[in-house]
Amino acid sequence: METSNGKNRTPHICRAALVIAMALFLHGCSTKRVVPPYPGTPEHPQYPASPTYPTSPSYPSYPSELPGEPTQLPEDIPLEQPITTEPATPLRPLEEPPSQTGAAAALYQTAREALGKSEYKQAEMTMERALRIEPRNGYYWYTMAQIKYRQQDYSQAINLCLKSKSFAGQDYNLVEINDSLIASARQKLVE
Amino acid sequence: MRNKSFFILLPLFALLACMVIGAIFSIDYLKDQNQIIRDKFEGNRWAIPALVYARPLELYAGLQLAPGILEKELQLAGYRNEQPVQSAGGYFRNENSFEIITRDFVYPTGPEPSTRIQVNFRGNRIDQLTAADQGKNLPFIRIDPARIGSFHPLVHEDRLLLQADDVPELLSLGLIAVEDKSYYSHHGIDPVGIARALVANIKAGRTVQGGSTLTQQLVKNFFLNRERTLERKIQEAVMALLLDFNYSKEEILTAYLNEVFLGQDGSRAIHGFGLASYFYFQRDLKNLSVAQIATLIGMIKGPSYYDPRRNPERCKQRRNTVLDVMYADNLIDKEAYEQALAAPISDIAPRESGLNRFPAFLDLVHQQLKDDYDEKDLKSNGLKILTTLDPQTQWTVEEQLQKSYETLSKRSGNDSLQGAAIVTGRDSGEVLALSGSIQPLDSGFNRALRAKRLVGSVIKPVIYLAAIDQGYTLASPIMDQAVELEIDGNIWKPRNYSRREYGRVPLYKALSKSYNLATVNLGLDIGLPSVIETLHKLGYDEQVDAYPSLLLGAVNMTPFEMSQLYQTIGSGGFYQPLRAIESVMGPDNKLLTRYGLKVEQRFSPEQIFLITHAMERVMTEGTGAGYSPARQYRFAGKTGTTNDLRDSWFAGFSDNHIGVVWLGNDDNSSSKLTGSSGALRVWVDLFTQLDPSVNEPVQPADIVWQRIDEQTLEATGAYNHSTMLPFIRGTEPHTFWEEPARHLQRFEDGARRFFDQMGNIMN
Repeated sequence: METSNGKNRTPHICRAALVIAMALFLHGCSTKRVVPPYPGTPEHPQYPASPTYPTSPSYPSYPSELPGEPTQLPEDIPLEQPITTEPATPLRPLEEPPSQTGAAAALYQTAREALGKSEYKQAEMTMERALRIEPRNGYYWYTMAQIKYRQQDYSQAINLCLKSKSFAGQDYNLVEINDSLIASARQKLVE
Repeated sequence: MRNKSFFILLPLFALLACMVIGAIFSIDYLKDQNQIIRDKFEGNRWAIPALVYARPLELYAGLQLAPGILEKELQLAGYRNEQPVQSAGGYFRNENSFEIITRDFVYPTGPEPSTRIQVNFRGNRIDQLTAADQGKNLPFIRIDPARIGSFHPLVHEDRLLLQADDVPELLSLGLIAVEDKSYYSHHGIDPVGIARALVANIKAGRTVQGGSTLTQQLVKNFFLNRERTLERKIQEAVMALLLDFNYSKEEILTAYLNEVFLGQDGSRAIHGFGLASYFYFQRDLKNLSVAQIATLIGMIKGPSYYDPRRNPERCKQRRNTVLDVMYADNLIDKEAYEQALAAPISDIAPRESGLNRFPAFLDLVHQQLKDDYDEKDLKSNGLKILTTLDPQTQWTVEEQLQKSYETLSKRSGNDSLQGAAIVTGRDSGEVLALSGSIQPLDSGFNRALRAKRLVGSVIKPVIYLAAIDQGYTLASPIMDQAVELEIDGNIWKPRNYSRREYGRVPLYKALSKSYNLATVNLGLDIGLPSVIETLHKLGYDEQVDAYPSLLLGAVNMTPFEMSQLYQTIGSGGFYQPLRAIESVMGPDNKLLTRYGLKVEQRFSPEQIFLITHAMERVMTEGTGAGYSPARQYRFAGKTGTTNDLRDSWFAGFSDNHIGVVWLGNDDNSSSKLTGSSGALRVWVDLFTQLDPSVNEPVQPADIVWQRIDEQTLEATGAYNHSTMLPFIRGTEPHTFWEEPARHLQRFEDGARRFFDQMGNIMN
């Protein structure tokens, strides 16, 4: 009984499937279906791929400087050495992030110099000034994270990295350097 | 014989005893007086109230700033308009270009010296910023911040403390020449001077000349009261001698220059030459002209009688007398003397004082300081408090509140309308502006901090964020249908504002249209504990009772507390306590406390991206869309209205700022305004001025977009009756063509169920 029911049902299913498949096919042909990765209609204005950095020629986006290369950590974070004293190796400056205004970039440079001299408070306050001018620059937030790391405030360093990542958009280099610093900070917390 | 000698010796012994006792007492007396002098002179000589500063204005090429606003900022910071610009604290504006000499200021990062700068504008933007002396471009510079208040008793002495090095030589020499010629030769009192004054006064039959030395004058003002008895006079003389014995002439003179009373500004007494120099001439003491120094010296005789503003002629005569003495004593040459005689008495128009100009913000500063400093520290220890107040934003908030009050009170017929507003930096958590009243200078009830009001629908993003946290998407179907709940024996039957039911609606629409029934059903589905937990994660510290009415905003909060919730959402899910203070420094400019940037992730950027999108929909198609300017920018926010239109709320954010506006009546009567007809308008008008750029949310990498059919709430490729929505990767629904196998499987499962049922019926 059950077997015969099953046998009777199969042609019905196939027929119904065929009809609906045809209908869907015709429907698909009748409208031009576009699912843009980022909506660009007036109803949905365009979202920039990486809003932190406008991709105009004057402001090249950060990772394009290193096409196809494995992402470099532009900043040495002393992972093994104790960081209570001067950093074991001199700070190499982070590759200049594109900046919307010269002021923020100049402040950022001042902060990096202070960081290089282990003047953490000075660096922190100067970075806050840069962030007031460019609050969505993920690299500036990353520098804040580095400063906190040097001050051994690891949980704040992690949170600042997460903040930096929230501005990364499609900038995988920024994501990577943040992930690396987070990993170091987590390890320090465990220790 | 024995008796005789006894009678002779007794008085002698008595006299001797008296002398010994007297000597002991006089030594004790001198010791006491000496102790009084030492205690006061070596401790904190004056109670200096904490000074509160606005944020320094950072200038750089490219900064969006109207020239008029720069001038207003300069004036707030006490800058003088002068041509040519002579010294620190002066500026000159030539339409779109400014020449400014900034003043020295010690920041927590260190001292920044006075610099002559040239600022050129193109439209409302700084085009060029140069160091005028070197002619080279400056990347940035900050204008020393405006003093916006101090913490002091109601009636108080105010002074800017001077060190010996700060005092121009002409001032000290001129003062000595006029008030106490033998200052450097006497020992605190001047018997010759007293005799001379005595003769002169007897001759004139009245007091025409004083014999007090500067030391005695200091003693009188500093240690004693105004009593005029012989005993006081003796005490004054003794103390003057002791002071002179213990301390150098220079120290005593500096103390005098800081102590002397030089005028009155309402309840504030102007003491010392440091403050008087600013009060009368808006200049640092070292930048005063000869004529100005002479004016101040002349005023010691009677600050009110010789007030340069009220009695300029009398003041001028007195000044010229001082100049005569200076010239006669060869302190100035003929040229300087003649130039000073010809100078006007004051080149400064009386100005509006920036002090306590922003009472509601100062109230917040005071509240936040109380955690770390006691009242005595604030009133007497000369602290320097650098705050986050942005005067431009504060002015805009005040103007907008007043303007809106005029329109809204007229339209709604509600004269007693009140309001409060807060604006913060979106990623800094800094409080940039805070108004506790419709009237800007109202120092009474601070509604922004203290008016605990029902919040209504402005709380709804909390519930929707809690739902997203539990895995709901913006397309999740929510039932907007009637619900009845028993609360404490009473039946609670919430309704939509329109009194209608909308049936099955997508989550984003339930929020943007502020559907009450959908929100209650959603809140009950995810559970009240989860909503309360989200509320706390967003930064609300008070205890909340788990009543379902919480879902429609039956909880009392202040606008400031509401700001904290929206701050966490607006800053991408990062909690940061709202800060009004940047740092506190001691009187020696040493950094005491820093209130730096701190963040703590409470929600993922993806979750925040979704809730922000739904809040943007509020402005484009929901309850915020009724006010057309709102649709031009991509603002995100939420309206709130409470029963009988008692409260009108709006909270939201633009590209760089987060703001909360509340309107209502103090007596909790109907304000006759909904969130949309009241607070939304104030907020939008305010934010279109503060942030006239289109909001550009940063899209996290794990966000994908999908077109959703508004009826079926399924993925679709068709444009009609559909909308694009963001999803966290992996939660997005798919169309047939994206995942045909899965859809065919679903279809087959459905068909199989259908035919099973049909078969069952037929059998």
